[in-house]
Amino acid sequence: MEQYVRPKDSYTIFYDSLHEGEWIRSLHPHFSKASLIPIIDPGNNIPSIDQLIAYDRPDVIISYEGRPFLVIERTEEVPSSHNCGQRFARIVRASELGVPVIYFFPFVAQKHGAESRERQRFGKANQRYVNPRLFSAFERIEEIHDTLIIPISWPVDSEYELLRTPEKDVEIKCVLHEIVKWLECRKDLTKLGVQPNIVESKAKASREKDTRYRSTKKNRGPPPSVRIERTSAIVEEYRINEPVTTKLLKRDRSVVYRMGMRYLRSDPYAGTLALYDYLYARTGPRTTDRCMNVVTHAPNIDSNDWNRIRETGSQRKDVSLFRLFSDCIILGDVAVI
Amino acid sequence: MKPLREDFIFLSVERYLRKQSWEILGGEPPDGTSNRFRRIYIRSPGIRPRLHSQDSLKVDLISAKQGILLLSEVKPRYSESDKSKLDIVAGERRNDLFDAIWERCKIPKSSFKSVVKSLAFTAELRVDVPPDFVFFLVYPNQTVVARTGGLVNPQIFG
Repeated sequence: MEQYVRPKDSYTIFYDSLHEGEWIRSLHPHFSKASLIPIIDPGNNIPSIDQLIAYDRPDVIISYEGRPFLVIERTEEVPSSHNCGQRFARIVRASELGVPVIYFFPFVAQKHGAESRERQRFGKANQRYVNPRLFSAFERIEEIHDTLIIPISWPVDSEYELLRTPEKDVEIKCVLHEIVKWLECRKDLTKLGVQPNIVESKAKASREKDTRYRSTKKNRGPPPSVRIERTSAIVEEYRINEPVTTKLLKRDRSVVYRMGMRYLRSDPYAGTLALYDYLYARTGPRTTDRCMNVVTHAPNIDSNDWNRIRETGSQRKDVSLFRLFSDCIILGDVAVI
Repeated sequence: MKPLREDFIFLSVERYLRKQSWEILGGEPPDGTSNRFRRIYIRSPGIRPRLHSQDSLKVDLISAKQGILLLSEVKPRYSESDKSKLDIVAGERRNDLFDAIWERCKIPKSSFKSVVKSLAFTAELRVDVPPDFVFFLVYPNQTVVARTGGLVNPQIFG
């Protein structure tokens, strides 16, 4: 059996919300006395944390001996439809920096609300399932950045209500145990993905992905907000002018993501855009490594809105992410790079 | 005093209430997913929102003890808008509140004999406690002190 000794105070938990930091502390004995430090506005954290939050702020970052080694994202929402990519950009950023990610979310859960009550009255099922494109996009990230993303399902009871008892943490604790042991023995996370609990968690996610693709035909192709066209047709349809045209025509095809937002905002569009970039276009770690253009179409935003926000808030997350993950942004009245 | 973070106040009040034997029925921590309790959306009847959160009100913490339903809103500093929101939830939207609690917790309206409103914020009291409110004053060492208005029985907080 491998022996390892944990240096004192070697772990630090950086959290977005104190609840989440406290939760992490409960997941592994070596975290129980970890320092808890809030993640604050960009530019005010230690550099390694600022780098990780450059696109978006993850729920938790854990560092070991001063080096971030794991990002944990957690949500009780099923990433079931258009919002499935809402948290994607922060996962991309961790992967770019070679930091593994655990993403803890329900693969299925009961949906609540007036519409749900109505469906129940007619005896219709009311649970929501994860959008399998999310898993496919994770696989692309892992291939491109040679990193590890571990989706773990937040368990539900027989009526698809989320478990909120300690039982919900069984799987994530097993995975964390492996990560911590590996880290403390070897000091790096190379080949971590061959550990049995991690293999099992990833296999579960893969099975869920396959099941969801099999059960819902509409998931097999691009979603309604996305179409893939010849670039020349896109240029003509939207009457795109120079210098945007020349740039776009360097690639034969383009993936066009239509965003229905009526005012410029980030969620869920910026993360979803990143997801479609990885799912359909990205071939390498740089945003120039694409087999087709990524074109963002925001018909309800005009150049006045765009320029006003760029001038007054150039550091805004939405603006920077739309620019980062797009080759071109088609606004209501003009196309911009 | 520098205002404390909202998540710190939230956690301090949650722990305080648990220690005082309040049962947390639901809520939502600031900027975070709840580890332990359900979200309770208070909706208008007859409206069929496509999204579960549309046209709904949420209270940061909803707790119960001995037939008293406690609504708590949390902010770094005293918030007049939170006070107004609780006045609405416990007033004109009271039936919607009980419907929501029934839907998510299966506790009937008849289980509650009164509704108490509360605001939690950094210990720095510059306003009088309204008669039908409780203020939870939170200190940097996580101490919570309850100040009750004239219509609230102070014994429900120990």
